[in-house]
Amino acid sequence: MRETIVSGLQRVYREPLLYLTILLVVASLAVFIAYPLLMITKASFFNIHDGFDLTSYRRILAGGSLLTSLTNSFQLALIAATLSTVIAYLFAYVFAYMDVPFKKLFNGIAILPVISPPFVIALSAILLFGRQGFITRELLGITNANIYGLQGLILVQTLSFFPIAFLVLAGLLKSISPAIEEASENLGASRLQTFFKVTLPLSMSGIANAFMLVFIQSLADFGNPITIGGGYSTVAKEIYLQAVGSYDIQAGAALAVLLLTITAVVYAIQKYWVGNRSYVTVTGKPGAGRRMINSGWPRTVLFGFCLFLSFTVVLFYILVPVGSFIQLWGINYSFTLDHYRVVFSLGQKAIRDTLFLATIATFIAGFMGMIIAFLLVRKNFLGKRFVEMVSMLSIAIPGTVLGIAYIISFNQAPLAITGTAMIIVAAFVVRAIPVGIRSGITSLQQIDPSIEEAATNLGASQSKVFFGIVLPLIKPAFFSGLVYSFVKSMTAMSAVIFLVSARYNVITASILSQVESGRIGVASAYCTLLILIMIAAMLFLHLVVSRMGSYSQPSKAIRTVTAQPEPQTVKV
Amino acid sequence: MKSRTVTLNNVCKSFVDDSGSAFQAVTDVNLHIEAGEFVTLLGPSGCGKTTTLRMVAGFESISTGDIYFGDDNVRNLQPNKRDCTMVFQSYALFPHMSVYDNVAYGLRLKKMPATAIREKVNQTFDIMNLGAYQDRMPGQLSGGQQQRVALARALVMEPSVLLFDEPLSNLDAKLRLTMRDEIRRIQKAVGITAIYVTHDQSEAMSMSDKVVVMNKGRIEQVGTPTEVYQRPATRFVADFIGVANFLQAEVADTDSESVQLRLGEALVKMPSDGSFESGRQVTLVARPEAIGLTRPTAAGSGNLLPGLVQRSAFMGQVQDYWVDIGDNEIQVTVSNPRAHEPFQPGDKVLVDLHGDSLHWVQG
Repeated sequence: MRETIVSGLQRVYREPLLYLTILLVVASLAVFIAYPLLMITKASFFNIHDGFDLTSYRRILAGGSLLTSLTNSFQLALIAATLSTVIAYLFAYVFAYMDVPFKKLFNGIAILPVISPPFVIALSAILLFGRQGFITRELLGITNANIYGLQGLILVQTLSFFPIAFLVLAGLLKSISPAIEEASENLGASRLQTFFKVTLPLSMSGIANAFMLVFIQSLADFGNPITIGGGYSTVAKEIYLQAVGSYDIQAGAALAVLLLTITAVVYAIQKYWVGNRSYVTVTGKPGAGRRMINSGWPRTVLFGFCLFLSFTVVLFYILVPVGSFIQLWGINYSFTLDHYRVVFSLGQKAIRDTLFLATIATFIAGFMGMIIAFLLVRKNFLGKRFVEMVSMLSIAIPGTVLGIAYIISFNQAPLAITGTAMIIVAAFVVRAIPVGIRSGITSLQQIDPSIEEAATNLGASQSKVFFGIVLPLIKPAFFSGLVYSFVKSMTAMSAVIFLVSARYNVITASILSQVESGRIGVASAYCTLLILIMIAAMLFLHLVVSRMGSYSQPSKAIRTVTAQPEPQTVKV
Repeated sequence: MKSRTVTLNNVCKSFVDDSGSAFQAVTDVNLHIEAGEFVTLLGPSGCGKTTTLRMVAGFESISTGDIYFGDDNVRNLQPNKRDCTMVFQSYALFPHMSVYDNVAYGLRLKKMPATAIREKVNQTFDIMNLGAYQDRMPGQLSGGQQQRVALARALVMEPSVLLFDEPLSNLDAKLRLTMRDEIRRIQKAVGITAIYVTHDQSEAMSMSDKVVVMNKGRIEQVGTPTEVYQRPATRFVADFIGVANFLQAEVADTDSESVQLRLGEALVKMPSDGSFESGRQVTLVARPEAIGLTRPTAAGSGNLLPGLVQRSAFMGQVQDYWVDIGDNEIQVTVSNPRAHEPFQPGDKVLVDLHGDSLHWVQG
């Protein structure tokens, strides 16, 4: 034992920079993820006088509004996940098996929810189907239409989340070897029989994956319920109301702990149980490409359905910019720039703050994500398990849980950072970093470690190896991590809503206050601006990446293809 | 070039897996490599040869024991401070750098002036015939060209020791033969100490000054290619290198020059090395090509045993026979099969175990 300590110390002495980095990573994960989660768990079991009691859990179990929010969330998540998965499967099938035009459009639709602020679809739904809705009131003449509530949430969540399921399923269907299906047909099965006996069973793991991802998304969703939920209370919203509205932190904490437990369990099932049940990896060499279905009525029907849905989604997204130029939706349809005047006067500070904080968070999350991925894939060190576990767990933390955990943890010494820029940046980073870590890990695993050894062998130090070899090699993952972090930070709301203050405000919080006071036009203007910023940022980064050029891999030995693509753009 | 000796003293390596149980990958390896020598570590996968090489390179820590380059103990030297460049199995070229930048990489880290770097790199390109490719990216090269770049990148550093980790295993058979000669030629030309890991015995035999045969983490034998083939120290070495027929025999009679061995019914005579005593059990090693086959009608002298041909395989340049000689079936390789009428399965033959080529091992 003593010998291992001595040799451990020797290693630290030889590579001080590496171990300093590890120390920093472990410390920041401990402070900004592990500690808040411990604190919120503690807060749910202790009352304000620091006495242990189970009051809040009892209150939840006793029924009433707290329990209703949980059951409501479950109901909503089940419906939204089912609908999203079914729609996504049809989409993915058309995408992977059929020769149809507009495939680019389908792919574009899949990226929309990633870059869109959490309100866009909900706002559009109000504009279309609300009391003053364009369809409900102008076209159908209904004056008491009610989009607020479960029906609105189902519509909005399905439209928002089915693209996530689509990404998972399209990747899976594309990776099914056509040879397997050809074998089935060769043995006498019809196309339909082949679908039910081969394709569908092979895609079950993906279906389960997609379902659970949407399920978690729906449970953790805060933006849609707060906008369009009306009287239908859901758990994420209830946590916010308990914590901020009625100042019952303990009840909020208890709900948050329950929500976190549920998402963590579902995530673990998705990751370990379903993840291991994929058959796709046992296929041999890829043979010829798939023969695409290019005629027949099923193709026509499915394609029509996909087209209809795509245009619906596009319509929902276009409506918000349109709405931002309209005086008073439903009453006065004249053109105006008033909403933008409000945005650029009152909202100026929020815009500046958001850009500032998001930019800092982007760089921290971008670099730290790659560093953590590198440490996890390539290094052995004390605390690796901890880093692995915490960064895994952070994927499953719903934003509202993180938000309430932060206000509980960071409003007293020694870590009284409530109200500072630091706490918001930390929340941004924690929300954004898991995806960066995962894509970093995936691309590092595809790179032959002897490339790094070659650099060391030729005399490069650890930091030279990382910045000169590793980072350039995982550049695609690094930049997509940067883009994702920026987009995620700009559109973050569920966690940040707890943390904004007079000193630092963010755009999404401003949108929320506009929505709450019914000024849909101003909210739409904010959203439009946010979308424009995001498009600009993505174009800029795309330009940077393509200017830096790409390289081709030297040999097959260096890149082994992973059979199942990770759903990298999935946010939880 | 300042090539140096390499000495391994009682080198051991144990790995501890997640459950905490230790696995001994390399046990008590003692090896001395002369400056400028080409030494091959040969053995089946999992024999510890790559681990040994990686300990020399510094990628694996040494559990116990020491490794010296010349008189310097490198045990505690970081891999980037050791003076031994390596050619990797996967070549490990930096895919984001041109061929020139790949080769110049190590020199730049040494902070050498740009003109000196250019000169050295070009010099190496000349030796390797790579000049035409210097602006290409690794992805635009064929496997053989990548291999040369990997070698150039290691050579240009003028290290004390050059390490090879199965560098030819990703090439096709024809190219492998060419590269073998090329590596050997360059190594001789620059006179550098080289340690070469392979599981391919023909590679080891054709390239090395010295072959180190390893098994289960231990060295079985160190010797020239001729020694390890003709005088294998253990049954493992005899079996691993080439094809060997093992025959159990008992020492019947011995004098100062020769020994008579009882092999089933027959008596076999071979030169004695003085270590035999009557009644002792030994295992004879007979290489297939050192065994003669004749028709039973032919007259002859020597260690003749009656046998029955079981099956045969025509390989082009040689013909292989499997012959039943009572207790054992032995493989016999007849070169130049065109010279005489082939034997058929079922033919009775006389098997001639050439005494001079026989060898014995323990076990």
